[in-house]
This record gives sequence, C-alpha cells and structure tokens, in this order.
Amino acid sequence: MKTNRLGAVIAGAAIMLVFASCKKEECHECHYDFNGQEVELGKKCGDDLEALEKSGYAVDGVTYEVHCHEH
Amino acid sequence: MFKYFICTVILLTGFRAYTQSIQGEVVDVETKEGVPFARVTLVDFHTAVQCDENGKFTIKGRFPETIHLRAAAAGYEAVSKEVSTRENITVLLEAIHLEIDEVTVTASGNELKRNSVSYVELKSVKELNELPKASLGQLLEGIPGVYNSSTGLGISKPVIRGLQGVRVLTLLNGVRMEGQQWGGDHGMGISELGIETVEVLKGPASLQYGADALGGVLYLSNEHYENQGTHRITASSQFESNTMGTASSLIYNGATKNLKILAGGRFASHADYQVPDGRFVKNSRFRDANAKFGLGWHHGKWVGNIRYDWSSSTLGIPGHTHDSVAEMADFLSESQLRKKTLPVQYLSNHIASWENKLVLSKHTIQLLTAFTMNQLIEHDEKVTVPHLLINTFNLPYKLNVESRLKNNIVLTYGLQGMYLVQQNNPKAEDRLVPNARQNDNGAYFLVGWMKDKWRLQGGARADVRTISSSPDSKFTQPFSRTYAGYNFSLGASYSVSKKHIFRLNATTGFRIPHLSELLSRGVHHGTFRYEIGDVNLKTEKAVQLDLSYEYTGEHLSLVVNPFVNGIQNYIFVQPQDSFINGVQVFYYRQTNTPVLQAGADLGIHWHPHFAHILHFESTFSHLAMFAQNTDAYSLIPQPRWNNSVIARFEMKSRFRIDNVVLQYAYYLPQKTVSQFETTSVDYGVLDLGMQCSVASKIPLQLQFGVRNLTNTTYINHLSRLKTLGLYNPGRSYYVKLVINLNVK
Repeated sequence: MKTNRLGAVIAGAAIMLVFASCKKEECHECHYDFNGQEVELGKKCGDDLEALEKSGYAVDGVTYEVHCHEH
Repeated sequence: MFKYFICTVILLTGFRAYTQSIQGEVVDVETKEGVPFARVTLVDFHTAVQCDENGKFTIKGRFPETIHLRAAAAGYEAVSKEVSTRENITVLLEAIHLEIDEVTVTASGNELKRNSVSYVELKSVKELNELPKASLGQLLEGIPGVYNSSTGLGISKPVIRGLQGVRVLTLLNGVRMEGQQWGGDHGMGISELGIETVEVLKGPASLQYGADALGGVLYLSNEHYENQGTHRITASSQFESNTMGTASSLIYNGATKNLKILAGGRFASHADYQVPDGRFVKNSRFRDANAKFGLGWHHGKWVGNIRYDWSSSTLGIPGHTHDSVAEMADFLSESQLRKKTLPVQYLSNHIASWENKLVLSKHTIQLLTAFTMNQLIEHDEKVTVPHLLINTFNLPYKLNVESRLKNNIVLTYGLQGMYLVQQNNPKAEDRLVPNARQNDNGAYFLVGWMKDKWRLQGGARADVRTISSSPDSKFTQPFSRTYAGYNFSLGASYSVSKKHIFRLNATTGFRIPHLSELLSRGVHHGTFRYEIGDVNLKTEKAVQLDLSYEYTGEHLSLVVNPFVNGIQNYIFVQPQDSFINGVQVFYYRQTNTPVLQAGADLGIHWHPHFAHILHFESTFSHLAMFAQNTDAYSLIPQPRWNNSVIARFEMKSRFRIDNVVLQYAYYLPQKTVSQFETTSVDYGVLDLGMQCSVASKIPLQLQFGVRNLTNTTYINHLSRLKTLGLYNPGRSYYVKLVINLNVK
C-alpha cells in the first residue's frame, strides 16, 4: 500500500513536471507604424507571430517593421 | 602463505590508518563541566554532530588518524585544532559574550576568522536575513565595503571597494561564475537558496583566484550538511508589500553516517516596484526560479562532493521608451503590473561541480572540476526574435595541495584554470561581441608560517590567458592574443593578545581586458550606449596595501580597516559627442597614469553589560578615487554609515520574541563624479523588523517588519535608473514564515 502511494506521488510529480515544461504558445496584438499612425494587424500567435516579426508586413511592395508588444 | 601475509598487512594497515568512530567531549574551560549541545565538525569531511546534554559526542565512520576538528557552542569561543582520532578527544571552550569568531573562512582554507592572515569580511545569510530583502544583491549591502549596483530590484551586481562587473569575481562553492558580468545590466544569477555564508575578500586577490579578482572576491558557500543522523526540511515563504512579491522555498538537508544531501528549490515573483509617491516603475517586475542539489560522502581519507545549481530569471528592464524626449513620468505608471513585457532579459545558469579531497596526515589534496553554462537572452522590440542571445560554457578546474610541514609551516600550491567558450546564437538580431574562446592556466604557491603571536603568509603566481575570436563580418578582424600575469602576496598578522590583532597585507591583482572591451561594436540596449572596443588595450594591474586592526573585548568589538589600491592601465568607457543610429558612442579607453583608490571600513559592536539583550552595531565605509583624468572613474559609491540596534531575547515560553532590529543606513553625498555623471545627495533609510518563534512539534518562525519606514524619497548613486530620475523603492512591509522540521 505504502509503495503504491509513493508510486502515485512520484508519477504525479513527473506529470506535473512534464506539463510545467510544455511551452505555451504566445499570442500578441501586432501593429505597424504608417504615417505616424499605428495600423492594427490583430492578434498573432506562434509561427505567424514569429514570421511577422522576422520578415515584417508588406503593403504595396513596401515592407514595414511589425511591433507585437505594448510598452 | 603469501596471500595470508598480504591480507594481514592490509588489515593491520587499515586498523592503523582509520578509526571506526571518534569519541570525545566538549568541556567548559573554567567550570570543567561538559558544554551541552555544542557542535563538533570535522571540517575537511563536512561531517558534524551535536553533543549530548553532558557535552559528549560520537562521530561514526572511518576517518584518518589525524583530523582537523572544530567545536562551537552558543556563548563560547569556537576552537579549531588538529586532533588524534585514536584517543578520546577533549575540547576546551572558553565562554564569551560576543560570538564573532565562531565561523570558519572557506576562502582562507577553512581557518577560523581570527586566524586568517588577511582580513576577510564574513556574514551568514541568516544574520543578513534578520531584515529580509527581495534579492541576494540587496542582502549583500549589509556587509561593510560592499554595495549593490542595481537596475530596479531584479538586477543586482555586487560592488566591492568601488569596483564592479568584470573586476569582481563571484565564486559559488569555489566555482567561478561566468555570467556576462561585463554588462551593467547583467545580474548575478544566484539566489540565497541554500547559501549559508558570504565571504568578501576586498581588493586584489589574484594569487588565490587568478585573473580578474581586482576589486575583490565574493565567495558564497552552501549550507553545512546537517549533523550526522539528522534530517531537516525547511519551508519558507516571504511576502513584500511594495512589489506584491512572494518568494517561497523548500529545502532538505540530511546526513547519514557517510552520506550527506542538500536539495531544494525556490520561486520568487515580483510585480513593478512602487516609488514613495505611490506610482510604479514600469517593467521593473521580475521572476526567479532556483534549484540546488548537493551530495557529499566520505570514505576513509577520501571526501567527495557533487553539487549542482540551476537558476532561471525573467527580468523586466525598466526605463524604456520610444519618445525622442523622455521624461521621468514616461517610466512610471499608476498601475502595478506583473505580466511579462518588452524589453525583457532571460538569464539562466547551470553550475555543476565535482570536488574530490584526499586527507592525508600531512597533506590535503583537493581537485575541483566544474562545468558552468550561462545563457543570456535579451528581447528589445520583438517578442519572438531575440536581440541578443549569448551562451557561455566554462570548464574551470583547481588542483590544490596543502602540505603541513615541520615548525608550523604550511605550504599551499597548485594549478588553476578554465576553458571558456562564448557563442552567439544566429537567431539573435545582433551580436555585441564575437564568438570567442578563452583558455586560462595558472600555477601558484603560498607559504604560511605561524610562531607565537605571529602569522606570516606569502606567495607568488603565474598565469597565462589566451583569447581568440572567430571570424565575424561585424567585427574588424579575428582576434587572437596571449596575455601573461605575475602576482604576489605578502601578509602578516600579529596578535598582541587574544583581544588585539593587527594585520598588514600587500597583494597584487591583474585583469586582462574583456572581449567586450577589446572587440565591442554595437548598441548595448541595457546600457543605452553604442560601444566600440579597442584591441590594443593592455592588462590592468593593481597593488593594494591593506591594514586592519581588530579589538575583541568582552562587551565591545572594533574593526578598523584602511587600504590603498593603485591600478595601472585602468580601462574605462569614454563618451563621445558622436551618435550612431541615434545612440551615443562610447569608446573603451585606458589611463596612462595609475588610478588610486584609498578608503576604510570601520566597524563597532557594543554589547552593554547592563543590558545584555542589546547589541549596538555601527559600520562606516568610505572610498575616494584619484586620477589624472577624472573621466577615468565613475560610480564611486556614496560613503555609508550603517547603524543597528538589535534586541535579542532568550524567552522560554511557547511563543517567543527572538529579536527586534532597528536599522538606519545613512548615505553621505557623492560629489566626486566624472564629466557625464551627476552628483548624489545624502539620504537615510530606516528599517524595522521583528522575529518571533513558536515552540511546538512543528517549530514556526515568523518575521515581519517594514523597510524604508519613513517612505524616504531617494536615489542611490549606483542605481542604473538614476539617469532617468527614477527613485528607489518606497515603504515596504514584509512578512516571512519559516517552518523547520527536524527528524532524527
């Protein structure tokens, strides 16, 4: 009985650790600056977010730097 | 027949060489009665026991014939001596009022503090925690001559005798920390979890620790393992009103006959801190997670220790704005937030070490090998793309031999070095320094001699460091150079009587220019500078003369510690009137004439006979710097006068008040500044704290109090937020609960 309880505690701790180490997907509201105004691009997550930050947002052949955080 | 002979020889040798258990007693020198519950420690073996109520003790296990034993008890002067384990041991202790010499100095070869030739400042974390703080960096400010260069509450860098960053060496259990200390905004990455003592060697200490220990050494040591056959679990939780912060930890410390374990974890989370006017400093929030593991064992003459420390911090960087003309109000908010935002710094450390010690009758051979990994990630404008991502891997080693020769001569010699690799991750947008490798190797010897009231120590050391950088289009050329360093130290201590000790030490130190000083080329957002290095920088060299006088009376102790330190080829950053991409340019430069430091640390502890519960403590630290070019130095700490009144009660009731602490730290003005630095005005901060305990089956300890009681508005001269006009934290109430579970 004692061994079972110990096993359950260890298993529980291991599950908690596994879940704790899973990285949650980050989502952020993004925008780019155009003529002194912020143009909202909406909420972007995961790979979309990363691609947008890396490559920028292209409008009519012009690529704008995208900001996805508030200060 | 031959095999029987061999067996007999082995058995006889075994019986001669080892003892199965050590027995003895600790006795009051005057009354000749046993000292109840004294702690007896075999220093080299990290093994300890507690005496019974009659002062008798038994230490189980196999130990060599001669060992280094230390006995300490509350209200007694600690004793450290070599004893024979083949006889019944009797240790005599002398009663004292002030317990200031109980501790051993790890950095000076496990000697009692009073026996150390050089003056070492030593504080236990427990003592510093009588007024708990939010971080280890803030706790260290309780040590005379030690300051804290801070960026809010989350990022702390120790400052010793006015020097910081790469000029201060931090060691955790003897392992050198390599964590991008060159950056003004890169913190220590160590928490107080499982740390027992902090030792500070002020001034150059290259003989013992190699290159870079120019300003001083901060030596942090793990908790001692529990007494043999004892297991303890300590849970603690702390709350801070100013940051709505919590810090919780759980630690296990236990020891069997031959095996010892220390393991624990800690988590802390703080929201933005509040300034005295009620507003909050934007993005000063931070989060810390730490884990620690230590496994110690001994078998006969062999002592082993495996240690592992992990830390992970998420640190907000306050003082960020996109406005071209920034005002203080831009950095403050009416609301207090905890959620991660940009810019942010992620700092993680892995420190693994393996220590092996062979304790022979006349020699102790110690080999320490370690692996450390530091990762620094800075996100400035992008959530997913780091601005900087630097990995630093280090393999330090130290082989140390201590030989106890005839006529009280101790010879210490060895080899020390490290192999360091620094890599920028290509995912990052920028690189401040190129990928590089660094190889250090050094050899040293130290001779100590003791006769009557004199203790002398002297030695020399030679080091070689090779730095080579990888080709990188951003930096002018690949860099490869070998630097050599030669150092010496000479010291003497003279005990006029047990009450008076004089110490005089001459030490040298050297610091090889850091990669950032040699090769930087880019914007360092943490410091708001465009930094340009110089590959022609020479090695910094320092010579210090340090004098100390210690008086230890029955009710009064006094320390006077003046010093003078001359640094040649002092490296500094010089602001230019040019800008690149809107960021001011700074060049690394070097002085042609020496920079001179002079100052003193003074301390007094009065324990009046008529009011035995009271302790009055006062320390004063002052530093002045002189140079032909006054731009060479900056950030000289404000002179500090620290005063405490502590009432320690010895109650026998179930609910006890252990102590009440009232502390007033007065910082004098700092008017000596460089061309682009502003002066600082004087200020005083008053803290009040109380510690209580409840004696029950599960003993509880409760601490509560208030820091900055008068809600004083001030900016410390070393605060990196000073240039933005951001104040240090206002009033903060704290409460801390500690539960200790002891199992035998």
